[in-house]
Amino acid sequence: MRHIELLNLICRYKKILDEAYKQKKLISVPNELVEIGLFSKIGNFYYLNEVYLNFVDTLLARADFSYVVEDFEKEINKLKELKIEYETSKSSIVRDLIFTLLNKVYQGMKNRDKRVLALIEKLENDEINELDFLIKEAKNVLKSVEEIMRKNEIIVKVFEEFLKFKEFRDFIKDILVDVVELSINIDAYLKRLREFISQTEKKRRFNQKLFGIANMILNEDNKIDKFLETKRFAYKQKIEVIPDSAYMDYEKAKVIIGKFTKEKKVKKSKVKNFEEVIEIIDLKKLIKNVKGSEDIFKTIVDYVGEIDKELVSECVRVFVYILNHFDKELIYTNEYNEFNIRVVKWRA
Amino acid sequence: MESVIFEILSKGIIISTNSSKFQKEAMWLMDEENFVSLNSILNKLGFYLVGENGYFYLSKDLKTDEMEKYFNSHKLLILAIAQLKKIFVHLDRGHKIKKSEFIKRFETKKDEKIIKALFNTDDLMEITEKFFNLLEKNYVLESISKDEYRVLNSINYYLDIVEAISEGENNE
Repeated sequence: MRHIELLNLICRYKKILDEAYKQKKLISVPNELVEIGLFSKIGNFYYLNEVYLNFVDTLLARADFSYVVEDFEKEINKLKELKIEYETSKSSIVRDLIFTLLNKVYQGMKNRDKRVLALIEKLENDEINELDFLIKEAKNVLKSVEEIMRKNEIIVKVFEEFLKFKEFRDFIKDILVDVVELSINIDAYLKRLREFISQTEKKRRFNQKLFGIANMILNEDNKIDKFLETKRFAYKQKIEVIPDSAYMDYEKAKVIIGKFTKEKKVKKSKVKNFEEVIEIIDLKKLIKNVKGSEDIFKTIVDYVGEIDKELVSECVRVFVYILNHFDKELIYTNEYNEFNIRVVKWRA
Repeated sequence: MESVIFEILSKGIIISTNSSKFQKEAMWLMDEENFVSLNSILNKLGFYLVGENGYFYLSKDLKTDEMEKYFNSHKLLILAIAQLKKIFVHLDRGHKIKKSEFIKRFETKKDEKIIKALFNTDDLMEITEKFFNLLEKNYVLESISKDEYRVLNSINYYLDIVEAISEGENNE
């Protein structure tokens, strides 16, 4: 079969190949594809040839966790042997073979670079696999990449040995520029992998801690409560200041406010434009009432309730408005009223 | 805007900067000038406006009985988040999670003790509904569609509490 015929065959069965690539195995495939070796039957399923999968993954810069990083050791040893042979024979067959091998190693290094990067990105973007599995995989990749770095130095030395031959010089010079670039990439990959491992281990430690604390809560372990009571948080000031409706007693405020109005209407009035509210309640008159008040919030609730019961829910906004605009006239006491809001007085 | 924000925060709601519902309020609070001015008003009332890690909340010094109430109200949420993290191990703020995925993984990843402590039912669909409602009601998750939810920044508020417990504390 000629190359063009192979391409035609692939085009003809592109949907089947695409399906096989995505699903990893198929129950049936056309015989032609088996005969040419694109598929192998193992058990009851047909699997795509590894060579095809490698070809596609390399071109599409993809890698899965089964990818094993190549080191080109055999090719490099062969190049060393051929160099010795070529020094004496100067044979054109050996020369062509050297070119093929140099090119193979160089192309292989570029492909490997793409797939290692794809593997790192796959690890970084994984949101499904267990953290233990990812850490183990990342450590394996890290080990391989460290090995690549070491072996790249050997490859560069072997490449440089061919510089002494005029016929290889330009080719070697060209590829060495790229090889240096690939080594810089490797260095960056090592950093990314180490960072990924450290972050994932941190995430695992944190999850374990969270599950541990969840267990303590379930077991009603008083250490948790004791811990909180004694305020032994080691984190900022959060221990001292916490959000909770407990301090506002919003429910209680709502019940009291509810005496003046219906709940549904309260909700509706929340979206009222504040300018409108100020206009309706007659701010100047309110200020007159508030002057001399012993508890401004309570005065506002009483005053607004008389004007429009539906507006009682706006009291907090009115209260904040007054605090904001008459700051110098106010005295902030340490007491709290029944709404659990601090008692603020008008300066006498 | 000050009073609108006060009204929201005073209910114990944590405003996350990645929430669609409180987008305007979060934007307003992210302005340093606004934050400082509101905080100074609130300080006079005995409140603290806290802004950290992409969320804002209102707080105040607690008395001992309030502290207990506070922790009890947080216990359930810590349990729910622990269960969520068992199902979505990579869960982090800003992530999008699906209810359908939760259902799919539930059988193998459920923590029976947590589920029993949170809900009085064995029915998977009921558990799922109640579970997502609990987290949505407490502004840890925000619904994007019927199936999809966004993890709000406020999840870190609860995770920071866990983080804050010293290492030896849960091993003693």
